[in-house]
Amino acid sequence: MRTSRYIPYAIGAVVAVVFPFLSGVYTQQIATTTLLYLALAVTWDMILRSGQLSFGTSGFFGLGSYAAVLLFLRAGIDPLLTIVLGGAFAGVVALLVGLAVLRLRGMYFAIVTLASASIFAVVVRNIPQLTGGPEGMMLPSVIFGGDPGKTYWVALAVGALAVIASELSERSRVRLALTSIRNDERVAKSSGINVFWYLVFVFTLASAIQGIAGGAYAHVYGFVSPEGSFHLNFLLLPLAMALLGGIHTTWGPVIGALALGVLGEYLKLQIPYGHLLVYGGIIVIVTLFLPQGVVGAFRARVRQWQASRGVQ
Amino acid sequence: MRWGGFAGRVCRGRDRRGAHSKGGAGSMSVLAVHSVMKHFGGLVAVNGVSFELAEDEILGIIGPNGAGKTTLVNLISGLYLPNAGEILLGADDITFAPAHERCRLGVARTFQLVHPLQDLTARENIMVGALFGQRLPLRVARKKADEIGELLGLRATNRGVSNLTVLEVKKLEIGRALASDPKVLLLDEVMAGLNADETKAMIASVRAIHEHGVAVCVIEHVMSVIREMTDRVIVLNGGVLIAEGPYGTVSADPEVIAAYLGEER
Repeated sequence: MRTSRYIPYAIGAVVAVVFPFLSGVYTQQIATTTLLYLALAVTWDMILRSGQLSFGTSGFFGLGSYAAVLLFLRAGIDPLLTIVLGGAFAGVVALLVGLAVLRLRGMYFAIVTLASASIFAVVVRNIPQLTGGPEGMMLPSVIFGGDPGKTYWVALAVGALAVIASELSERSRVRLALTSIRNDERVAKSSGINVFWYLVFVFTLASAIQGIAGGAYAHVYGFVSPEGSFHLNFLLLPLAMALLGGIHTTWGPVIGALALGVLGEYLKLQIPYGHLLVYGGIIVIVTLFLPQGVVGAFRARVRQWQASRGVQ
Repeated sequence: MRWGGFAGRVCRGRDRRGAHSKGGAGSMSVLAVHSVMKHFGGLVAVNGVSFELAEDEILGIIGPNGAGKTTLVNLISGLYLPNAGEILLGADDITFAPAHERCRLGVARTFQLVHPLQDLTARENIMVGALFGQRLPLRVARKKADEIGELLGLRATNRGVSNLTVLEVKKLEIGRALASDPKVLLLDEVMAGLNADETKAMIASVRAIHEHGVAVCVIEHVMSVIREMTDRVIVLNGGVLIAEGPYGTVSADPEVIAAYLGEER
């Protein structure tokens, strides 16, 4: 019973490792992008599990992008290391933002995170000496010479990092703390949970991973710009992925990201920008008919089936 | 270490009971509230209330609706901070301590409107108190939750909380509070909505908890419960403490009768 729990992980790991050897350049590229979005979707959901809706995803993604590129261009640091440092920078900024605004709740917190994301973009645009201003910056060389067979591993590491962080928190006291805070903050407080500290912790951790995803994305595609790196897509697509797959779990956003990543690419080929239309449609349909997402609906079915068979 | 909690508390509780007479003047006070005041804008909800809770006592807090009983509990548990006054837990000044710290120091409470944590199982609801109130590791907290579930007579705690009866939900609430190994337990209308048999069962549960060495404060509207359960009663009216003493004495107090009669009866 105990080992069977790990079988899905083993299958997932094997598929992820074998995948690039069985697929072409184009597929590897799609997988790379999808895995970076997957990291955003999982970490966005991690914050949501505390009951807080963060719209800062694209902001921390962009900060990580810029920090990684700047450290590479101006300080000549190894690109892989700059991806990690970019995430650390995004994490530090998230910590400061979190300390300042995590007394806010609900809509107020959501709007402040959205505003802070656009503030980051405005700041970046307005210090051209450092950031290249509105035009952004091109990298003279992309990571691994742009070989998708290699960049795939970078993206896989980022995706895996998000999944591991999420699962570690789900399997520890962190899950009980965040769920309590989401369900009833007064009860959480009165039961000894340091609500503010847990919110700052999860917001910082998730945003740092979003920054890492941004750094990886910038090094894979070889450029940063205020429009591109802080694009609202880096918030809305992960959000659609998590909603489709099912919120408040690790595997919901993972499944949603894989499904929409592949579907989005296909639709892009059929209709230019058609994928965005479909994403929007999916958000509407899922929230109307599958509010718990695919994973949530599946779990409910399994529970029903178990109950009907009298399984405990 | 506070873990070891329950077994340890049983012994300590018995020791104390041997040394002091129940609720007597010789008992140490575990909670002391000195002239606390709380106002919301122009409304003074609690106005200079002082009382002490002995460590082996069940104290009743009564008063008509809007008397400030729940506000008082919120001040003690840290959901509100007082505008004036002082609250001591043993030797610790907790007047301005954050709620989660008060829980760790030994103040636990239930809520008048009970909302179990919907997305956790019943066992996990209880575990929350042990995990964060006592900072026990997961495995130990799980064991502790099962012990408490058994003590309170809660079955199948590995299920969700949506199908629990009112009594079970109330017990769950008490279980979560108890899991933090409190010195003081504040019960805000735990009998509300229970029928006669359930009330009896609940009184027995609270008694059992008290026997384990936990000082208890009960807010209650059902006077028969107060009469049966409490060693001593304080009466609030309009945010002011108007009487204090054993239920028999207090219920004969003309000012108390006037407070209740003036309100609705």
